[in-house]
Amino acid sequence: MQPSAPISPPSPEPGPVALALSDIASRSFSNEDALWAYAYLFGAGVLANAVWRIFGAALSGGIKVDSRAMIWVRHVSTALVAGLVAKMVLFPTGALAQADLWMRLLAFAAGFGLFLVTKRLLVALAVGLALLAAALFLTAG
Amino acid sequence: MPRPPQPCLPDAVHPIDLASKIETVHMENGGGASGERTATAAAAPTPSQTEGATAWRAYARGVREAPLIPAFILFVTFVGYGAMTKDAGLSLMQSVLTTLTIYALPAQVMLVDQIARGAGLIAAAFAVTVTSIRLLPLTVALLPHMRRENHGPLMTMAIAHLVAVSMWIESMRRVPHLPQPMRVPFYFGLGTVLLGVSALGTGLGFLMAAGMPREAAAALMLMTPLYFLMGLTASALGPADRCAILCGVMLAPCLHVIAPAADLLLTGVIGGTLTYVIARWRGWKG
Repeated sequence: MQPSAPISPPSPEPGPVALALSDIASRSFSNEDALWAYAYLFGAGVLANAVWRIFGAALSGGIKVDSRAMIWVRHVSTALVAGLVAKMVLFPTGALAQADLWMRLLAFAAGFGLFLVTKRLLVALAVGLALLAAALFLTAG
Repeated sequence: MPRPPQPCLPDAVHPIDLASKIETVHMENGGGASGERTATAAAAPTPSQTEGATAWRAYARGVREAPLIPAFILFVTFVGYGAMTKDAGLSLMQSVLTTLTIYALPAQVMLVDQIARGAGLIAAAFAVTVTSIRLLPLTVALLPHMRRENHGPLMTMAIAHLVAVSMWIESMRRVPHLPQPMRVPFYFGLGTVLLGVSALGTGLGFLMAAGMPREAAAALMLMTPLYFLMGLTASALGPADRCAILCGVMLAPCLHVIAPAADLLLTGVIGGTLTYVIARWRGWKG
């Protein structure tokens, strides 16, 4: 039996390192500090995104593509992106938030409905976007 | 089972592909492609010099056969994304760099959305990584078609970096039908066009954001979700995929209200598992 390694007891007050780490973890994006801005984009964007490509590349050597686990993963990802679509339309940020809910829903439904009927992606996109722009333009004070 | 590992989309089903198919036929009738094919066949036994020439020709072919309509939609979608980054407070350089280094629109939109909401580093990284889980199955499905013994980890990463929904749709249809030595360069040719067009669109959108009428800016931001849903629907292989789409669309708003921090992850796991169970119960394939 090896004696268990001496672990320092958890201090009641967080140390300076823990404080600095939690400060970094909860710090939001800002261009006032260029280095931080790029660190944020790299950490929260590039790295957070690339792990799945790296993981996927590592897995692709051994995994069977038509296994049950893969089917499940595909369903999970399909539902997730569909959920993202719903969230982007119902809870938008930025410029799209200026449009009322009914305008977004009407334009989206018209575009997507047209796509389902005609299978023409460009036409459907053009009609959806034009409808939203027109609704915004006509309701502007 | 003799079924191919990842069933290619039937060409007739996919509206995006129509134009590119016409283009492909045109290219092959133009003489360039058929000449290349002979060159490839002849090059098979000869060593690296000819292989290098074949690689360049395959790359050029990938560039030329890049599908026009998806490229155009990507361009316009990224114009919307570029405008969004300007709103969130990124610089032009940062905006274009996110496209070049991330190259996965849902993750990028999520990142910029988190920035706009003032999210902390870890919260934003979590939201982005949850959105990017989608890349895992795409990568796993695509890479085996291009793997060769002489590929180092850097080459594998370069291939994996270009995996995105649009790239996946367009290359899964073409790459497996090419002779092995042509696949990777052809894929890089395709990727150069789609990534380049996306980066250009991002920059243009950023520059136009200020002068853009608010109607146009809002309309362009509707393009992204509309394009995603149409792309998902167009590449849906059967009832199971459509069920997953429906589950996702219906679950996300409810879960966003109940658990806003993990809404998309929960939507994926619950909706995906539900679809998986229903699909097994009903005996749906795929």
